Amino acid sequence: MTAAAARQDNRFWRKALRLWWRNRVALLGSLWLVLVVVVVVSAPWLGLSDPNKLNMRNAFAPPSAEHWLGTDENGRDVFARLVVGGRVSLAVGFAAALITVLVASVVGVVAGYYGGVVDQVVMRATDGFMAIPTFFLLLIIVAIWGSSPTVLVLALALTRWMGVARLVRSEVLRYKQMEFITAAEAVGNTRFRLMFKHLLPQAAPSLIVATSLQVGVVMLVEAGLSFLGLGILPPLASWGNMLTSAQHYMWIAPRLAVYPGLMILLTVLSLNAIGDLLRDVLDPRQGAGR
Amino acid sequence: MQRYLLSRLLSSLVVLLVVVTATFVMIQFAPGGLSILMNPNMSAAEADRLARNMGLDQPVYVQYTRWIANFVQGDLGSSLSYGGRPVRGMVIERLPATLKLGLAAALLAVVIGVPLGILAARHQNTFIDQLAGVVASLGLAMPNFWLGILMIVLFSVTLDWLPASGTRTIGSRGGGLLDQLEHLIMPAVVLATATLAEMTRYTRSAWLEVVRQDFVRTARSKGLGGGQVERRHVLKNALIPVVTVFGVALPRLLGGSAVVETLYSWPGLGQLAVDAALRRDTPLILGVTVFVSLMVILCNLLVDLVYPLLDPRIDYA
Repeated sequence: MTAAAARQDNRFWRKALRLWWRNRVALLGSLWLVLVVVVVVSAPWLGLSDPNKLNMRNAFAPPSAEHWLGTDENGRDVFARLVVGGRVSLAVGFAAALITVLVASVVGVVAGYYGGVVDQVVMRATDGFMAIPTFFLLLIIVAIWGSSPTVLVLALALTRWMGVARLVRSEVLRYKQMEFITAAEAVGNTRFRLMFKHLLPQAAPSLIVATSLQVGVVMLVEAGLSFLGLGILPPLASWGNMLTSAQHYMWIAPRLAVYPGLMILLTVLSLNAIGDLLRDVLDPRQGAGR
Repeated sequence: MQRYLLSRLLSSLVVLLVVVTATFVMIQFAPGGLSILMNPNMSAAEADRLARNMGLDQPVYVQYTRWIANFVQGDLGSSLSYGGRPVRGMVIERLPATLKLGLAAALLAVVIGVPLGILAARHQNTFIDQLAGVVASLGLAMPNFWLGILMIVLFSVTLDWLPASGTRTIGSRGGGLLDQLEHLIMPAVVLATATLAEMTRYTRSAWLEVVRQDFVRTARSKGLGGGQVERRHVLKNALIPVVTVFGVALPRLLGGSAVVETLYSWPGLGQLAVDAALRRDTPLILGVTVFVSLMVILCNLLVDLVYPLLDPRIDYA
């Protein structure tokens, strides 16, 4: 790396750090997210009580030294269930968002690079998918294939790739005519290399921003499905399905309805704030005025 | 203008075709293929008739044309779990409730979201702006069913101000306009949250963008008062992207109501779809989905038709 490039690199990171430090919501959000991820990943070594162990005699116990957040209607430890549920919700969210972005990248690059008929067909298909209310599409998939975590991840990805694909396509269209692409073409790069080695990286900033925002949306949708009994199914805990049972006991133990919802809210809020920050850092054009 | 209308209409039809095709492809990949749509309890003669109607013994392209022909004729199939009732009748029965809820939520989102966005933009970087920003961020990150549960706990269980479910009170004293409004408030507010937040954000940024433009400065410098400039020049231009966002939000208001309708026992299409999914009633949920997609496409077409009224610069050709 030349000295000038290093200096520029340095300046970028300093700007990023300054924006991060000044944006209090994103700052707190990233700390929260790190905390949640660390706790959730290290769950097996934390010595938690078994999240699925029933103890009917100890149902609805208030918070205590043994059960930090008390127990639920079946006497299960609420804190342990929150941790395990977070593991499931975050894993589903990140996996689905990653697949979304992969699919969207391929579709967007191909449509943008080839243009013409290919572009027309792909974009009309995208429009069609966008016109189907995504939640209904998910319900169809779950009705046919059931709701295992794998099906859920694939289904969530299938219903979310359209917007990101359009984003990638518009980036590709912007860079396609530029000289470095013509040059890369002239030295004999294959189409595949042109698309995925030279054009796609140009869309990387928008892709990173889109991914971080997708995770939050996907987590909300998964929570909704699980709440309806069509997502992650009990006894496996997820933040969404913990609210299903809490709903029935909100007269006796309203606090059971508070914790999982608060976890979803704070985590999605953090992800969105980080996404907005990344946009300010990586892609200043898009965030203007917002 | 006519060509613009025609091209919009044409692309709406193409989108509808994509929707119907997508559902067909999905069913082809289902275990058992099209036969998943047949009721295992029906008589042999009835099963035979249905199989012939769908072309189960024919090659795929015949099945595909039959599939499209059935939808074009308005035949959405028969449900598996509700005694084999035709899906079309069930959908039409549930439509009014969903429309009522969706429109109420759309109205709330616009009537609160747009002014809030304008207020935030006009007081950029003040406390008001920050407050609107917090409201918008919370609205986008809040699981709406959780908000719904909390509101039931507060307004129904604790304060006893609002009913927790249904569209009206059953019995002699219920069913009046006021009674129906009381039932509508909570679900409509919950359904509106995310869209309201989006409207606030987009209105704010659109307003800020327009205010900085030359024609606004010109209008100011020729001596027009602030209010007049804002009403006649800024608002009209700032509303264009807002209409776009509204068009994108409509599917969520009409279709995203599944969770809200279920939570509040609201007898609409969303609740029907959730019920169908829980019963694994594939034809019913397919029919509901295609129908709601049709509604969304029509709404988008409407939005496209409103554009030229707002923005004379749009090229009709």
